[in-house]
Order: sequence, then C-alpha cells, then structure tokens
Amino acid sequence: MKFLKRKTLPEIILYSLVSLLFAVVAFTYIYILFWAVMSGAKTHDEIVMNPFSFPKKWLWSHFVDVTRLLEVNGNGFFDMLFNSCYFSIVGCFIQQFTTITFAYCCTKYKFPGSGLPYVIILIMLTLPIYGAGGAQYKLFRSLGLVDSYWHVICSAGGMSAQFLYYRAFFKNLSWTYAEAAQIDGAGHFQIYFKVMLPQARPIFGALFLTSWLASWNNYETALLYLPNLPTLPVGIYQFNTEMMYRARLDILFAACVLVSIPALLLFIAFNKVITTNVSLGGIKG
Amino acid sequence: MKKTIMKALAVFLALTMVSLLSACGGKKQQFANSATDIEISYWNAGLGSQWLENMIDAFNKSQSKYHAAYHASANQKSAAATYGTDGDTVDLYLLIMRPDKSQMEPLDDVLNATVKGEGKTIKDKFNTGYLSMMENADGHYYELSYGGGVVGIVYNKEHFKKAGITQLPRTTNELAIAADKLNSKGYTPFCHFAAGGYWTNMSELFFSQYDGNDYYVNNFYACKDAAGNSPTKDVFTAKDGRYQALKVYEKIITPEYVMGGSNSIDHVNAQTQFLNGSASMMVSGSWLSNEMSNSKDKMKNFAMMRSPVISAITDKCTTIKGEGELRKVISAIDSIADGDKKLDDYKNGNDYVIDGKTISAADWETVTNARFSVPTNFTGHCASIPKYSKCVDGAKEFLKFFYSDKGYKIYTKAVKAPLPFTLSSGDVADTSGFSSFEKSQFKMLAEAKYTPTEYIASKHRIFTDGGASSFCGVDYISALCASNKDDRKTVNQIWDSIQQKVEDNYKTWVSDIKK
Amino acid sequence: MNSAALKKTKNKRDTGRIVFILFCITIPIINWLIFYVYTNGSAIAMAFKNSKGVWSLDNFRRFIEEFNLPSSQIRIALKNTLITFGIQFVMFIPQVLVSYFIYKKVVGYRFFRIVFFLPGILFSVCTALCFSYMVGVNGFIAQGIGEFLGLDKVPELLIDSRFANYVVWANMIWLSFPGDLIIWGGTFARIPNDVLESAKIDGVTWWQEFTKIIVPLVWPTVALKLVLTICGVFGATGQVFLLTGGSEQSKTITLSVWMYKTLLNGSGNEYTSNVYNYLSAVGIIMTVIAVGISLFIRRVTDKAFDDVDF
Repeated sequence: MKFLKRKTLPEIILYSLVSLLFAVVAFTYIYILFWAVMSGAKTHDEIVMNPFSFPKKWLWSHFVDVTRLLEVNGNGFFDMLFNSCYFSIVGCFIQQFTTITFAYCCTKYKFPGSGLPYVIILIMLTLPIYGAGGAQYKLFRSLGLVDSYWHVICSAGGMSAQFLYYRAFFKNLSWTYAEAAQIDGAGHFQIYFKVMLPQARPIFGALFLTSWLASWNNYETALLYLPNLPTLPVGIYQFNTEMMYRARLDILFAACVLVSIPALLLFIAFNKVITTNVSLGGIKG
Repeated sequence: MKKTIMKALAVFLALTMVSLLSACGGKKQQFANSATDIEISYWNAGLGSQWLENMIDAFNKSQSKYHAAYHASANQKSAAATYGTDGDTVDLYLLIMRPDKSQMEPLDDVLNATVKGEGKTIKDKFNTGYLSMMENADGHYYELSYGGGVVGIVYNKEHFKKAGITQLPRTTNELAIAADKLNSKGYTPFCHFAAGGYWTNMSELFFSQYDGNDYYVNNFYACKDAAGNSPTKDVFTAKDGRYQALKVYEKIITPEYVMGGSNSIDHVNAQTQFLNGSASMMVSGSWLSNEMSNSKDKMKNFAMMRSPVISAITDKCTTIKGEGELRKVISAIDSIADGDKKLDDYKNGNDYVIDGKTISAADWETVTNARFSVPTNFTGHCASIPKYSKCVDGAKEFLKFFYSDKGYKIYTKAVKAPLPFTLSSGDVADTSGFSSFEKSQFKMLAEAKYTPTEYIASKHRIFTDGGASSFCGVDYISALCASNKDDRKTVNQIWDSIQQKVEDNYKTWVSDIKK
Repeated sequence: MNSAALKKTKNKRDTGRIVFILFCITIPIINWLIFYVYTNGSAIAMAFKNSKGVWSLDNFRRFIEEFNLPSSQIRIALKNTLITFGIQFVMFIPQVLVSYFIYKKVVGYRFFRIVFFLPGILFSVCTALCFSYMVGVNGFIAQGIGEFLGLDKVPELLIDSRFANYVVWANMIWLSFPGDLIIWGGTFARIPNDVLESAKIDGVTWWQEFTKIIVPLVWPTVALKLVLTICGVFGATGQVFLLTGGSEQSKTITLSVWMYKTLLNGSGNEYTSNVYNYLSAVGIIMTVIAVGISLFIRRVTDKAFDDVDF
C-alpha cells in the first residue's frame, strides 16, 4: 500500500473512517439502482406488497416489453430515443457554445454593460415566473418552433447559471498567450478560436455533459412544445400518468432503468474528465 | 473496463443511428386547417386512445364531408396549450372541464339534434341530473363529457361473507356497523390514499344527499343564497351537509378501522394493497377494472355497492323517524329498482306505505334522490369546440356521432365504462362479456338521478378561478385517522378549521376572479 | 495581469474588436430579449395589477395581510424553507470534504467518483418511490422507529408532524451528500501539486495543510457557490412535493410548494384568475430579498480575500 507510507497514524485512521463512511453511502446509492432493476423484473403486485424482497421469478422480459409499450402519438421507443439524442446533444452543444462565447466576451472585454449579465442572471435564477405559459406558447408557435427540430435554436442563449461558471473560468485564465498571439498579428476571432477556446475544452466538455444529463432527464419542454416529437422522459412521464389506469409499476421501473443506462455509461466513461476539469476559478493555474 | 464501456457506447450510438433511420420512415399525422378537417386534441389521462381511434375510423367512414384526426398528450396542460391562442387550428378539445367558457361554441345544437334513425334528441338520451350540472349560468351548454366513470365503495366479497355481512350497508350507520363486524373478524375495514383518497367524492355525495341536489348545484355551487344574492359567504358558513358528511366519517374513519399508511401512500399503492386483501373496502371507480386488467380473476372477488344514504337525512324528513325506518324505506326503494317489487306495491294515494307505516311523498322522493345520487368524475373529461374553429360544424357532427347509438357502442366496447347517456332505446350498452364489476357500473349509472362530483362542476367562478372549494382544502380524512394522537382532530375541530379558512380567504376568493 | 490585458483591449478601439464583441453578444442578447424579456415581461408586470387589470400594489399588500392570517401556511413554509436552506448551507462542508477526500485518493476513490453520481442520473421517481417504501409503515425504518420509541402504532412518517420534516431533511442530506462533484472536483484538481509537495516537505500537518492551503485556495469557489445557493433560498424544497405533497398535517410545506399549491387551487387559468398576479408579486418580494443578500455576500466575501481575483 503506497499511500500508507506517506501518512501518519491519525491520518490513516481518518482516511479509513472516511472510506468506510463513503462506502456506506455508496452502498445505499447502489441499492436504489439495484432496487429499481429488481423492481423492473418483478410483478406489479410484488413491488407494492413486498417492495424489498427478491422476485419469485425474475421477469427480464419486462425490459423488452418497455420498448413495445412506450408509445406517444405514434412514436415508438426508438423514435423517442432518436428525439432524446437529437435534442439533448444538438441543443446542449448550441447552448454551451453560445454561452461560453458570451461569457468570454463579457469577461475579457470591457464595454458598456459587460458587467450587467452577472446581476441579471442572479435575478433570473431567483425569480419564479407565473402566468407566462400562454405568451410563451404563442411565441413558439408563431416562430414555428412547436413540433419542429428547429426547436433547438431556442437554446442559443447565454443568460444562464453556466455563464457564471465560464465567467469564473475566463477570469482566471491568463491573457499571456493571447497577448503573444496579438503581437503576432492575430485578430480577435483568431485569439478566441485558436488560443482561448482550446484551453477551455475541459470545462466546456464537463459543463456540456452536465447540461446534457439535465436535458436527457427533462420532460417538461418536450411535453409542451414537441407533442409529436416526444423524448424518452416524455414516454416515462406518460407512463407514470397512466399508472392510475394500468397498474404497471414494473414497466415503469424497467423504463426508468433503461433510459438511465446511456447516462450511466457516459458518466463511467468520462468520469475523470468530468470530475477534474470544471472550476469556478480562484486558483491560478 | 474502459474498452467495455467504449464498446457499450458504440452500441448505444449505433442504436441511435438505427432509430434515426426508423424515425424517418415513421408515420406522422398531418393536420389540414380547413372547413372539412377536424383536428382533435386529446388529453389521454388513462382511458387510452383505442376508443378514439375506433371512433374516428367509424366517423370518417360514416360520411364523406369531413375528415377527423387526433393528437394526444398525457399532460392536460400540454393538450390544452393551444386553447385560445392565435393561430390555433384545433377544432375539438377533449380535456378536463375548463373554467373559461368565453372561447367556447355552445353545444345546444348538438343536444337538440336527433340522430337519424333514433327516436329522440340527444338531450333526451342524457342523464338529467348530469345535464343540470353541466348547464352554464347563462343557460347554455359549452361542454359535454366524452369519458369518466362512476365512483363508489368497492368491497371485498370474501371478507364480507366471512364477517357475516349479508345485507350491504344501506345507510351510513349501517356502514359503520359493517366496519365493526369486519374489524372484529380481524379484517381492516377501509383503506384510502394520501389527501383523503376518493373519500372526497363520497363527501360530495353525502353533502348533496343531505341538502338535496337542488341546493347543492343551484345554491352552494352557484354561491347563491335563498334570496338569490351571489356571491355570498353564507353558503360556506352554513352548517350544512358538509358537516353531516364529516359526522359520517367520525364513526368510520378511525385509526382502528383504516389501514396503516393510508394517509401517505399513493393511489396505485392503495389500490394494489386493497385488491390483495389488505383492507375490505375502498372508495374507487370504474377505472379499477381497467387498472387490474392484468389480473382479471382477482376482480371477481370485488363489487361496488350502491352508495349508502346518509343517516342524518332523517333530519329532513317528517314521516321517517329514526334509522330503522330509513333502512326499511331504502329496502323498498331498492326492491323496486331491482325489479322485485313495483311502485304500486307501496303506493297509497300520494303517499307510500311500508310495513303499515305511511311515508309522505316528499320523504319518499328525498330518500329516492339520495339513494340514486351516484358520484361520478365525468367533468374530468369534457369535449368542447373553440368558437374560432374553422370547422365548427364538422366538430359538431363528430360529437353527434359520438353521442349516437353507434358512437356509444364503440366507446363502451373499448373502455368498458359507462357514459352519462344511454342508447335511444333507453338501454345501456350490450355488456355481455363484461365482468360483473363492469356490469354493475352501467346499472348504477342507468338508475342514477343525480351525478354529484367534486370536480369543478361549479356554476360560479369563485370555485374555478377564486380557489374556493366545499371543504376549503382541509384534509379531514387524514386528520380523523392520524396515527399520531397529536395530529388527530375531532369533527368539530375540523369544522372550525374550515370556518377559519372561509374567514381568512373569502375576500381573496372573490377578488381573485378577474373582471 | 488581467486588468492590464483589459486595458490593452480597451485602448485598441479597432473595428475588429467591435465586430468580435457583436459576434459574441448578439445571439445571446437577442435570445434573451425574445425568450425571456418578451415572454416574461408581461407576467412580471402582472404583479402590479389587480384583478380589474388596474395598476396597483394590492398583490403586495395581500401578501403581508395573508402572512398574518391564523390559518395561513406561509409562516410554516417560511420556517421550513429557512431550515432547508440552513441544511443546504451546512451541507457545503461535507460536500467539499467528499471531493477533497476523493482528490486525496482515499481508498476506493475511483469507485466513489462514479457511484456518487447515481442520485443525479437516476430518475427522481425511482429514488422517491424507493425512499417512500423504506419509510412507509411496512418499511423497516418506520417499524424501527415505532419500536424504539415504544409507540402503539407504526408511525406514518411522511404525514406525522413529529417526524415528517426530519424524514424530508434526512432524504435531502442523503441524496445531496456527495454535492456537486463536477464543480468541487474540478476546483481541487486545479490545486498546484508542487505547492502541496513542498508544504509536505516543510513538515506541515494535515490540518495545517487543509486550513492554511486548501481552504484559501478554494475560497472563491465557495463564495460563488454561496451566492448561487442564496439565490435559490426561496426555492429550497428538496423532494418535499414528491414525498409528502406538503400536506398541512405533516407541516412540511415550503415556500415554493406553497406557491405551487396556491396556483393549483386557483384552477391554473392565467386568463381568468388573479392568483397568477398575486404569485408574481410574491416572487418579486422573494427575489428582491434573495438577490440583495447575494450581492451583499459577494461583496463581503470579495473583501475577506482581497487578493483573490473574483
């Protein structure tokens, strides 16, 4: 054990205790996942009557049934899978790109009002808005963004919490390289695309994944504005509502597990990138 | 490890590509916004869309002038999102009842029409109690139901048999006695789910039974006092049938009689436990059989009883004294409905005679009305036509088709639940092949005189826009049977908190209605 | 170094600079004007209109009146919201520590780094249902508590006023224990290794290292996270709605649940009910308070660590 060599006894005890605590918490999280998988393979009655015992018979067929039973307005499981991928990947990419560009500009360039987005975003994050639904729907409709793959252009903004993250990143990013490029005669676009943006790749990737996850699990937008282009969470939402008449918790859990798998795989694959690259700044690197 | 993950990701991406290809070939509905194309927006809350598909197919085949097509959403907000917006192309909405009728086309034409080959108007086929509830304050009908069901106490036949209950409870006192019998045999008499479960529907029933449907619909839900003043606070402060309904629960919704956990579990959980025998009675509705379609044999053990009459109704009677007499009157009324006896067997001049005791015609009517008040949730499923629709006539034709004998048969065959109207012959649908539970639903609705509902069936906007409600949002059910003694409340305490809410909020209820 | 750079760009008033700035800000600003200002402007203005459509402060007055009504839930909601916020605030410490220990490569850190994402990945309907079965009367937690306290009936934890809030808070602590691994993980990963190595050689103890090196280095992150948390103070609810529905008996209502329930009560028709106007006003009151505190905190934290560029 390499790490033991470099630590004192109290440290070893502390680290062991921390490991133990983490293990306990981790166990409970894994248990929910296991419980959801197990519930997906039980009958509905078993889930309700004996939620924590093993199924009498593991009905893995439920995970196949999901692909058949999830259906919204003539869209099957694979249609929804495509919509989910399209809207989450394309939408998030557009959103992240416009946000990072906006944040870069407001941080590294001083112009009238460059400090305003910060305060406006704080207000936006706090202010709950009621009664805008009608106006919003009207607007989306008149712009032809309802039930359209063009809906992703709504994401092309910059006024979101992620602005603050990018802002913090650029605040702490040295201007030295840019200066050197400037001396070499590079223009503002070249500096941004060739010098600054490449350095922001890790934070961009991590924030992209974070927002991708949120968008992958989000059903509200698609439910309202994309009734004929439903995403998988819309299917799950619909299924959850229909529970009242169908009593198929088993299928609900199987669907939840199935839809979570892509996200789970991504987080396993890109785990190191995600957890080591985003920073709100403050540490000069 | 990493390689495996990358492989899995590759598979995932490949799947995406496959789905991309299949999505391109998928069928997409096209809606033309013309005077002959009927676009239907349907809130699919659990009735499924099979019935609508069948209905549309049959309608499109039955005539050549119009063409109907639909799109559905499980979310009511989403299905209703376009309502009243510029450029809305929907011609017929199938949603929950809406408070704002200003954008709706009156449906009086539909009601007054007679379908070819049927001997009476559509209006005459409808349940009159239901219609009185749907009639707007201005005398027009703007919405009519396309679905819903009957609500009542469902019971476990086996438990009842083992507890020796041969006579189903006729009155609420008898319901309490049955609960006691079940309890002494080791059964848990009742279960429900969080926020009062479906008992809230029964409260509306007991309330309307006690005060009479006329007061219930035309005074309370019109927020109008006897002198015709509206809105008035008096309807909320009057110690009326709502208080009597609470008194009913005082005896049956107790910590001993109610299944543990009922106050915090959800609908699906409660219903599943009930069907697995954890409790003997549960208030539920027509949807129960749909829900348990994957365990049909289980349903044989369950039936819905005619809703018991509130025992306090004797307050309103002059010739029926006490519980015993009330039960006899109800038995007599039931025997007529079941065809065992005829009305003439009891009738004596204007009055009625049961076991030598004379019952006045007024009392007989009061109890009959109460016995055949059937709680429903039809207002949760209402069809309406926006008046700006380009195809108003087509939408009306579609509704006429729906309310025809043919449409009725298509619906009932797919959903196996009753509608608030019957065939032109007066009969209900052909229910052969339906379960006994499903059959009983049709029978109950066919004999219903009134169909009280808690669901915004109001004639005053104080309920729909102001936020007022009969029990002012007080969760009396969980307060009566809380497992924690400190959280438990008596009926009088509950009534006081309802009155406190009225006191605090009446002003804002009125002012929240936009002029 | 940054300010020098800014000065430099400021002095260089060439058209290229203006073109670039326009390129960066045009789309976000147009997007914001269309999708936020245009659609929400009238909704926010509703706060200042009464039910007759006349400009007035009635809705603000009503909030103050309603706050004092005997049957009002607002006071309980405010109390719970502040406690929830307090817990979120305190949870900062374990959340930072989780990422810290993962950064310090505690045994199994690779495993924890993945597993601790699970609450965010799984659908909330899964976690909420699993948890409510655990605390339900047939679950081991409720039965254990009932036995431990010698209660005659198994308590219904989610509606029992003695326990409901604690259960909601426990659920929140449980699920938010790992915190924002992405943000904190990234922050620690950027700590220069050589600083720690040289400190180690100088014989700095673990505690000294933590308080004297780590904390000052991550302070700006703490400050911004703090500002963001305070912004969300009135929205702090955890899974209240999924678990208890904010029922009156359970006394678990929070401000955002109270607003949601008020909305449901008013039938949810924005064209005919004044409830939307009223809630807009309540939202504005909350925003003024929260943003005010946020900006104040930002100023204070900026002053506390003058040298930190933030």
